[in-house]
Amino acid sequence: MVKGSTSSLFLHIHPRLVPENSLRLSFTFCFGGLAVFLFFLEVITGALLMLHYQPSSTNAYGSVQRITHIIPYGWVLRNMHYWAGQGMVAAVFLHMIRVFWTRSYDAPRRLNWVVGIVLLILTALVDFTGYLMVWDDRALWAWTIARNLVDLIPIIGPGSAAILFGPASDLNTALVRLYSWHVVIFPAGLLFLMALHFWKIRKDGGISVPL
Amino acid sequence: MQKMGKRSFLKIILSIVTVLLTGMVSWALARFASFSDEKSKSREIPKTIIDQLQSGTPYHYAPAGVWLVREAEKPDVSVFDDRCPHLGCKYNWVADRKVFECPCHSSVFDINGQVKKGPANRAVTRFSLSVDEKNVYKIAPSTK
Repeated sequence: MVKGSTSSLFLHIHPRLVPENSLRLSFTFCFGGLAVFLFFLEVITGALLMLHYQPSSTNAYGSVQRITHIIPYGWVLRNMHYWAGQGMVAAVFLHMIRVFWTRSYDAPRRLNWVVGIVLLILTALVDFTGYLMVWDDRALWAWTIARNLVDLIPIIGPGSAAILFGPASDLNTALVRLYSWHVVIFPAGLLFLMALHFWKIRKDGGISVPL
Repeated sequence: MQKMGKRSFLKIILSIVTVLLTGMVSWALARFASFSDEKSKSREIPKTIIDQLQSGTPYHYAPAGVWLVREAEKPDVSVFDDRCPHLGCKYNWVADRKVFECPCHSSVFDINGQVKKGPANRAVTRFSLSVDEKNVYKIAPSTK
């Protein structure tokens, strides 16, 4: 066991005692920690982009172009937000592969594995809604195709499509709906499940050790 | 004078770098957050410049960072961002060959901003030009 510290926030991220083997970089590759770091980078850059983004079907594309080409340093923030988003999806996916590969999903961590699956789904959804925020041709068609796919599900399809994607006939309301998912509901869900995920890691006896 | 140890020297250097970086990032973020169109007068183009534009001869209006091109036999004026879409160098108009050429990596664009030779892989960024009731020409991001 390696002794950590409780005197500093950063040193307290790990529990006071950590199995030495599980600190090996080649075991975890830091994918989980990387995903968390990228999430907070997304929150910070996203909050800054919200200062100039206009979530209306007539102004959204123009405001993204304005951020990218006119507002000072807007292109840096937009690129950081975009690439951290792509990186976060990759980090979460690779983290799951690592957990699966090392059989870390096994008891007593079964519930946390399920929480992890939901986190992956939420990450994909927040990434997808982010893709739609630009509201260009590609976004509009991605929204149309995804909406139609959900709409085709028997019984619950039409209702689910209306809830998730907004009304098909009113693009303005639809974009505000997607914006709410992207900036509030999905990130809030991610934050709550991340807290649960980390708490369960400690409850289940710390991070897994190599087999 | 007391001799400075390696540890305290590194601490001072690290503190200076941290303060400088924090200052730079804060300055950049403040510029981003405080930007408004009302303040950015440089996005306006005097009417005299628009009136003097000649078809086939692009004009570089440096205060706004744009090239202005009057389209042949049309009253419309195209506005191009003067930064190369490859890595952001300012490209020039080469009158002999009637092309825009980037001095950094030799990307070449035609008078309509389309790529003729890489490494740029997309056309130059276009802005839209609007005129208000006071005859002030303003540049805005293209919504096309």
